[in-house]
Amino acid sequence: MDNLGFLGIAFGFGWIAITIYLFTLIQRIRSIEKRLDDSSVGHGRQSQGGTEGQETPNS
Amino acid sequence: MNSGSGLRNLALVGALGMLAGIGLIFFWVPTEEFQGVVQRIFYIHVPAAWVSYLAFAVVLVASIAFLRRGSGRWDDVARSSAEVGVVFCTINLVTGMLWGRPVWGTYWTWDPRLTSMFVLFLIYVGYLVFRSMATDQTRGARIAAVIGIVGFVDVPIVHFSVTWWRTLHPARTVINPEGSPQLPAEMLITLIFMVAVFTLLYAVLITMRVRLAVLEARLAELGV
Repeated sequence: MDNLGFLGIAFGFGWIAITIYLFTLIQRIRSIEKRLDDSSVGHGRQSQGGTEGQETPNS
Repeated sequence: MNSGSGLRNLALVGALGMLAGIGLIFFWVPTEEFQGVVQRIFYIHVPAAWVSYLAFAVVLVASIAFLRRGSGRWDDVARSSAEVGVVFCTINLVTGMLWGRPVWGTYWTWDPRLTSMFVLFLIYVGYLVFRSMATDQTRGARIAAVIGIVGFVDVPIVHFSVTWWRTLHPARTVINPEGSPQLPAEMLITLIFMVAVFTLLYAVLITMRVRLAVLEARLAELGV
């Protein structure tokens, strides 16, 4: 391999490493945000359901 | 401007900086007389080393703050900075090996600078492995903080290794005992520019990694 090849691999490695790390972080953040959103929606439905459930006997 | 759009703007500036840096490295800065084009690896190799020093300095400060105040936020910062530092330390080691093969005729030699940098890499990989394996998170965080503080001792050893010992590695050309940079103006400007771009990238990555740590903690609290 000539000098240009080593230069290309070095730059390619550096750029790809940073890019992969950046996108991994973005994906992990989005995934957790979605799970937190889903769980908050789930809790919301649960609490709504609970209220309805209490109202039924009274009515 | 909220923090999300601020981070997006910072990332955009970092990406544009990278493009401008490639322009400077490949189209503006002159080719070094003896090493040829492969010397241009220097413009990512040195900034990567600088960012890993910076990242491990942040681990040091955050670890001290965590031990003194016991706030989990400082622990998040230390852990995140160690991870980002390891990424840049890896880039430094790999690009150095790719420069060493055509210039020295070998990818690796147990030279003081290379060895001390490799030890630095191992210290912080060990820190991260320890953190991920600790069963008692509170105790794990405290022991990791001690590793983060003691591990930083290697940073000045890496930096001054080329002065203290006889080494194959080029001497310090920017911050050196002569007190002035030993580089032509174009090379110095390009190097400083790339150091600034890499520092900006570090700021983006550490901000995102800390955010991830906060979200992970919230997830664990909720038991989702």
